[in-house]
Amino acid sequence: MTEQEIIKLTNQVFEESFEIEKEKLKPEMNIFQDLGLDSLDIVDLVVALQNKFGVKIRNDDRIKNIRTLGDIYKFVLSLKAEGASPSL
Amino acid sequence: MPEPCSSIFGSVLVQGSINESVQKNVLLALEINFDYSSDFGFSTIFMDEVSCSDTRLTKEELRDVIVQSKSLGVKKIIFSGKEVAFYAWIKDLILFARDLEIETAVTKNDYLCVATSGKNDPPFCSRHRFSCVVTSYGYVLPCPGLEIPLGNVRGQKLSDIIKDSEVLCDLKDYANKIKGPCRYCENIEICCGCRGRAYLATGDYLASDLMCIKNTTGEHETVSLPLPVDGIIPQKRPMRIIDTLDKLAERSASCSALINNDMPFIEEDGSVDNVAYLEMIAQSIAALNGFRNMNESGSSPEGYLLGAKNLAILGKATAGDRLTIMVFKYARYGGFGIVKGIVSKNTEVLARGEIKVWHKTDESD
Ligand code: SF4
Ligand code: SF4
Repeated sequence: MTEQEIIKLTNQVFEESFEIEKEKLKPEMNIFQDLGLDSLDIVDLVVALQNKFGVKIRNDDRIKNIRTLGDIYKFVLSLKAEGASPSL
Repeated sequence: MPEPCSSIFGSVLVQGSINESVQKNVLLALEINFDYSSDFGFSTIFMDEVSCSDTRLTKEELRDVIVQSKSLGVKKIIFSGKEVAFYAWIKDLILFARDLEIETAVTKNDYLCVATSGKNDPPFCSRHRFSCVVTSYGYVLPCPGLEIPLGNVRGQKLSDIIKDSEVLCDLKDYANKIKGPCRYCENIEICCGCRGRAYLATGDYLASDLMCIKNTTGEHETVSLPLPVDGIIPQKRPMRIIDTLDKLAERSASCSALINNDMPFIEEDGSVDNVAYLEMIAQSIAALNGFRNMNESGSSPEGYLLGAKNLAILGKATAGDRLTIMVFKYARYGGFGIVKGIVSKNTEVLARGEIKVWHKTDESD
């Protein structure tokens, strides 16, 4: 999966699950301040990303550090890279 | 003379490696069984939404299960069932496993499942600590006698099923989780009772094994399902709507409620207000958590209902109706969880939806 595909599918998650307009979906956008998510939305975000990318997301310190949409692109990219060489 | 189910893996296991497999949450051995049907009733209602489990696994899917089990540490696979020896494609699978340096064995029906044997010897079994069963329909069971599907390999990776399973987590922590006399038995380190027999007799996979000859005081100390929820959920009448916890399965439970006229959620025309369905789902998941924690502190961890979504109202309940509420812990992240629920009257689904809950956990502190 290319970086562009990951960006496209992640943006779809924000459009479909959180009803955020396409125009706002830029990598520098802060998901809390600019896109309006709150801490209660994180479990929905995790579920939506799991379903969209077919990956399993467990409690992961990297999620705590996510602030921007760009951080999510990077996080999914790293998950996909790990999935290519599965570890326990 | 049939062998009891615990001896099937033979010399491949030594106590040290079992403890290691428990600590690392991996597997030492696997049984692939071709005899189970695809019908596990309520236990698979939520699983089947993703797993299409009414057809048998293909040879390719079973090869994938073998590859996954190898990466989980499996050293021996038993292929079991009446017909395993007849099919060439199953022989191919056995050779495939051997090529991966996994020891294999084939058994038709010459080992006796302790859970249904009718004998009352101590089982001295801990199979669910280091192995599991994959059925030909893809369901993963903790052991042959404990027919609680943990997941289905069609929709999930075997490693995710093992890691996410609350049933397995409880079984591996048996010394702290088993209830009643088995817990205090001198044999607990090597036995812990047949979990299949306990589940069949009480509906609780953590109950004491009442069939064991050593267990003479068990019956009056054992709690069986269906169980009134009064002591396991915080709500009291009139806010308590559900009456009993009826069945347990993997991260799921089934409860019952008899709708009364004097409940606060009854409309003027005698029908149940839609919001009551969400409350029933919330109370049912509280009952599941409360029951799992009965042994520990006697109460559920602190929790809150945060919201609901995807609620679909498909029918109406009125006073006098007996309802079934089935709930499933669909997802969890930190202290937050999403629970799916279905409320039905006989076979008619009245409502389905999801609630978001928060529970106090170490991570959420
Ligand atoms: S717990 Fe009972 S049914 Fe399960 S493997 Fe052990 S003896 Fe057999
Ligand atoms: S009482 Fe329970 S733990 Fe003790 S030997 Fe019997 S089944 Fe095993």
